[in-house]
Amino acid sequence: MTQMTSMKRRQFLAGSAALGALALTGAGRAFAQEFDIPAPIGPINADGPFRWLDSGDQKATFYKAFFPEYAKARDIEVVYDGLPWNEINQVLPLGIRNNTAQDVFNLPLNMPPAYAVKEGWVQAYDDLIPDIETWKQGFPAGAFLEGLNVFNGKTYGLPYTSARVSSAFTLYNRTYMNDAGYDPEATPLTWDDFRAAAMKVTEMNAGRAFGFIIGGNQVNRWWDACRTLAQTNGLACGDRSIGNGIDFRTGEFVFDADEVVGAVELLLALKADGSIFPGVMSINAPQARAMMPQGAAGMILQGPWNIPQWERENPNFDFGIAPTPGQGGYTIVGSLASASNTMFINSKSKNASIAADVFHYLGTEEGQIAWGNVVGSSDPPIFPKAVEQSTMSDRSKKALQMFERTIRISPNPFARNPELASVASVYQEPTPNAPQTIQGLFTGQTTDIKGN
Amino acid sequence: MSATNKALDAAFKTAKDNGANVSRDDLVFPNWDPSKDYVASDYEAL
Repeated sequence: MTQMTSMKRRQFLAGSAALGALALTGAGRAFAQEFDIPAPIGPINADGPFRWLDSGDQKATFYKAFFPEYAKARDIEVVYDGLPWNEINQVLPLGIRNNTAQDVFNLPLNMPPAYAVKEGWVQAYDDLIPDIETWKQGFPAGAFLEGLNVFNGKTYGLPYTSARVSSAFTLYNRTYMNDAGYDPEATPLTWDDFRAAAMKVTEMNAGRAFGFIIGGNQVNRWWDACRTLAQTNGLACGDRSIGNGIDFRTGEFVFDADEVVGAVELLLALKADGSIFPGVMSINAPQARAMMPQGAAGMILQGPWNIPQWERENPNFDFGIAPTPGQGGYTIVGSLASASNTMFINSKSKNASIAADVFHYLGTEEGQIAWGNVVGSSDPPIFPKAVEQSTMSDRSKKALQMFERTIRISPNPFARNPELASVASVYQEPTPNAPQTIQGLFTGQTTDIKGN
Repeated sequence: MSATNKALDAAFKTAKDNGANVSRDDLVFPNWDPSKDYVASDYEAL
């Protein structure tokens, strides 16, 4: 008997709507097909309902389908909570303190795993999965890393979704771009091509559509776009926390590198050309995303989560995917495994045998394919083979395979010295920081391009 | 740039004052080749 969560009604209704929409898509097929729940890896000793907490979204679509079948197969009760991050950040520390936290959870955003280990929130699961070393070898190299999900040689976190994802690759209206004479899938754009194509699309549509759109009032989008554009032209720097903007070869900030300045100047040139959708400063990233299928612009630089959404909601929208414009340099991300999706077992859990059983399944090819079938390219499985074999759309697969070729994993300072978490917790970027500076340059509030 | 460096240096100082064993050198990885994934063996080779 599976009991769903004590979510608020509003959240439940939102989730139900999502389930309804998914029935029309490839992901919907995964719901129709039953999960093939394997035999348990060992004795299942349930003590009360098995409780799982994560940040929901697309993950919830998987667990709402998977857990009912899993619970039935194991004859246990499962309670799944998919909560927004701001609620996890409040509810989980309280639950740990009161001894009411879920059996399995992801950590609050910005909480270093080293802290959770040190404070005794979580337990290692090496002794809970038989022959765990063989199981771990099924993961791609770099998934398990001392300092991130392994501490003192013991395995604490489950790294089951990939962070080898770009948040600023090229998604484009195929009709507009082909009519303008460009085929970025066949010939990836350089910066000059990007500018010329944006101008041509704008000209050809005579005010009805523009070359490029960006969610400009969402300040992080400016740095994501410029950093990624700069990296494809040769910049090498980290993308997060105290490593954001640092070239790890020297340990120095490179916010004022020529490649970054060039990327900012490129966007300013598009603006001067009149090639950018005029209302970008009043829209955020989801709003910019929603305007692409309406034909507002020829190109956007965003992430793979656009793909299933457009395919589901705008099945007639003919769009293509291509690398970020540039000279073919690598996009850099800070880890192979998604840190925010990494799951941990409560140190006080009386259902750790169940947690390990689910972890094991999610770390098998079978579990990874099932994950890819339901979640698609939004939170991709960490096994590249599972991408190939899943039922996600060919376009989603193509995007994730492109990431394998064009994205590289940088050093992660926290893996080297977990104590850096204490630096990250007190570090405050001065204002204006890089995203604010770029946004200010775009709106004309500042003209000092190297000001940061 | 200098403001960002100062802010990071200040964060390191606060962390150290609070007892953390950290250094700006922890952010230097001379063996990083940005065209390759940085993996466990690279950390070991530092």
